Amino acid sequence: MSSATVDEVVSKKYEFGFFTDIDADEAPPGLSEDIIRFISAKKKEPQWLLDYRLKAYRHWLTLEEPRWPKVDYPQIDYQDVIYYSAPKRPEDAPKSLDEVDPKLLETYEKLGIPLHERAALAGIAVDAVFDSVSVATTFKETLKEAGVIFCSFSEAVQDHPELVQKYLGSVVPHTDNFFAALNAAVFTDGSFCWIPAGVRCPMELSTYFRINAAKTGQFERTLIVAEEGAYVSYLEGCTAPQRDENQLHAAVVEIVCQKNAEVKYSTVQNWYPGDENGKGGIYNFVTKRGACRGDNAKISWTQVETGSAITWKYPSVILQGDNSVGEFYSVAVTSNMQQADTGTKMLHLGKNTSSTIVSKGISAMRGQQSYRGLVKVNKGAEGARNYTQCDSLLIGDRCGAHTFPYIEVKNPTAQIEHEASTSKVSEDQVFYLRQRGLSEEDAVSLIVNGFCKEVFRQLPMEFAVEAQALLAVSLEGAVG
Amino acid sequence: MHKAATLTELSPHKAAAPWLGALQQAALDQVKATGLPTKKDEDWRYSDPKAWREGTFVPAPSPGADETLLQGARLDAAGVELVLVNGRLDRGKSRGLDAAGLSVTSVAEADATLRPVIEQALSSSESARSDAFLGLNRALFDQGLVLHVTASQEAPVHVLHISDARDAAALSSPFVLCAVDQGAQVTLVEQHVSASHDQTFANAAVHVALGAGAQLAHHLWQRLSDTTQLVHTVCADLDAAAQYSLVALHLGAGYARSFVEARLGGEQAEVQYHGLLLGHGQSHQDVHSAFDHRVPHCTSRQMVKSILGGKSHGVFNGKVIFREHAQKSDTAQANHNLLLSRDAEIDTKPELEIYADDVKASHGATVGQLDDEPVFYLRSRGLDEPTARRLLTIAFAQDVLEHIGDEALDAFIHPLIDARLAAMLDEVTA
Repeated sequence: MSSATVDEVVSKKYEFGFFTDIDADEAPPGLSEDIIRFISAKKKEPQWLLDYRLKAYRHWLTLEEPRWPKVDYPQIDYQDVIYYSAPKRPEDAPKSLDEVDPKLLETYEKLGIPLHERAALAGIAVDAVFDSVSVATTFKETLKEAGVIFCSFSEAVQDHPELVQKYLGSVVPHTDNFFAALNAAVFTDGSFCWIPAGVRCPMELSTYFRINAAKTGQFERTLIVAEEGAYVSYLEGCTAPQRDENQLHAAVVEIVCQKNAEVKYSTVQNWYPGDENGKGGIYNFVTKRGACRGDNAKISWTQVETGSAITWKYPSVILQGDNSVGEFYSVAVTSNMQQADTGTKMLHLGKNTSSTIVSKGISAMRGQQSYRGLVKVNKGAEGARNYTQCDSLLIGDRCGAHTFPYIEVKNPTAQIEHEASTSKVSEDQVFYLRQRGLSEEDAVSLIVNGFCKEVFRQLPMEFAVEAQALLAVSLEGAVG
Repeated sequence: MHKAATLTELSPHKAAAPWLGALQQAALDQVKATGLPTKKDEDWRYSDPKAWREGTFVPAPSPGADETLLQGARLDAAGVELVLVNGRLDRGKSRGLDAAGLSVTSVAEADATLRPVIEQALSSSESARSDAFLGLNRALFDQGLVLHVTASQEAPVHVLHISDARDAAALSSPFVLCAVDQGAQVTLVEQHVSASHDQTFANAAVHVALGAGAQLAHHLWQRLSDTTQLVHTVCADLDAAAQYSLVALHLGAGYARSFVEARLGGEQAEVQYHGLLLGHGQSHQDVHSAFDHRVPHCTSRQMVKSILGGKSHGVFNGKVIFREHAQKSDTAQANHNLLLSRDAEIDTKPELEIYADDVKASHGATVGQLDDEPVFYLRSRGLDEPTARRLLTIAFAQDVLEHIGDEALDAFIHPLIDARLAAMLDEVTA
């Protein structure tokens, strides 16, 4: 493989790197009970939510930052992070696109997602998150007709406090882990989605996350509840402007899936990964978990991870209901100095539960990537079934690919299969394709795309296109 | 009578040579500094050595070899048979000590040319807390056994470990170093037995040093009684084109942890590990391995199968590391687990750590019970269900047993395994 093309990709600048200069309504850096009270007051939250935050904060103080992931980064000074920043004029939030700050719209233009156009053409409701406050929501009416609630988390706290109180922290408790506790204490906004019983959500729901102001930790909180027999497909995608400051991101996503309900959660993550020397880039410490509460429930995670300097993320499914199904499809790319420790947890509790894990890791340049997964079958989980496949592709001799699958089985009727392989792009395959007239770069691109195909197939169409484009940006040259 | 003490309070034996005493003291200081591992140490999360960490022990006594055990474990096919009771060589019961091409000594008396190998074995720097048992073995072994193979051995060398402590929980620290010179070939059978009342906590270590092109076929037969506890560590260093093949049969002990580390330090070196783990009753069996590919063109293969009945708990953790320059490395790892009973548990974790790109690595792990279809097929041929299940279970174990490769050894161990499997299946159906 030619090193010239490798160099070309190394030197490729982050395409979505720009910075919108908007005055943020910021809290001073640092974390204390006062800051939490400030955030809560700013958002006019009820007392129970403030109590929840403070409880989480006090628990967080007793925790130590986890060091077991196979990632390296300098100690984070949590007192040097700004925990709240909102776009200006939060008092008169825009009611339509016309009211949206034109600079924001410009940002979306640069991103290639003109809000109205895209929404109109694709029929997607976009709850675009810019920094921490939701600024525009579309297609609310259509959703309202179906009875679906899809709004920012802050709105949900104001308008549907009973639902939020019932489900907040029910899947990821504030005691779960260091970053989940931090999130529970300081989360500023996020998305809330509730699908009533028997309703198939009429459109795919999508949120674009953006990180903007410097030194602003982003603490999203997403809660999705699918009542009995409901169905929703939820899409999350992100890009971030280029900054040299490491930015901390500790999001929590909770999914509750009742009897016969199905939630499909897809992510394309393309935050700033840092430059070729590992300078800058997002620290992405995310806790994502879904609970199949009722029988025949199904939760499916699909993720395409190409960004972030550090990724620490294990979307999980708790299979409580009998016959419930959990799925995890992942493509993760680490290039330059990126590090990723990612995988999934499938916890089988109910009878005849099944889970599928397909993880495709691509490591290039000096990227380090680990698959870390847990499949656990509890004593009562008769007839549990799991299939796991995790493959790694290595490009270049200074990258790393590691696999840490944990399998814990306490029931003899379980059937668990795990397989993993690691290899580089086969020279035979490249040779064959070149012999059919393809350039080396096209050949490798084709092979890499084929390698990821099983996962891309799970993505909704418009996301699949974006995912392939992202993969091309991150890798196309590196392998050519 | 010795006063019982915790593991880290036990005092080392008086070493026969000052240099040895210094190394043993250093190892002890290190263990005291780090302490013994707990469930919070990743390598021990499923196998908390609580009884070791918190219990008190007397140093293992020095009884003569128990005749009944001896008769049941002697291996007629062996050319050399070394009987160790609680880690100390019983010369009277051993035979073939003067075999050509093989020297048998204590650590202190070992040939001066072996000094670097011994010093490395005794002062290995990987001294995290998870290795504390290895450090403890270095610190507390008495005399030790050094096998220096200078020329190929036709017949197997049999090292028989008898654990024997009747009065109080006792710690033994058997230390064996097997150095095989360039190009030599040898078969080593290491067998562990104990009586049904035994109270030994055996912390054994085997160091293997293979010269260029040397070949060692190592058979580990762990047949301890349910009352004996064992931590067993193998550290193997392989020079260029050396071949190390280990067939480990983990059949007994109440709590047993086996760790095999192979360091592939010369090109074309090859390591193979075939393991069978049989769990019954309340036994806890942990099999750990780490194959460290440090240079290009090395191969490692591993297959560990476990069959768990009763309330037994099995653990597998296999790790393969390809270091940065270990291009053209090749590894395949498989772990298959059969659960026979409702209360058995298995925790498995096949790991790969890869820092080189031009490599081949694969691993697979499965957990399940016998498929109904083959059982049905055999029944349709006229076999009753218990027989069908027994046949299929034996067949499951056969993938490992076929690698024993030596007829005499196979003839000795195979009936023992069949009997154990039959007992396990009876336990399940009872």
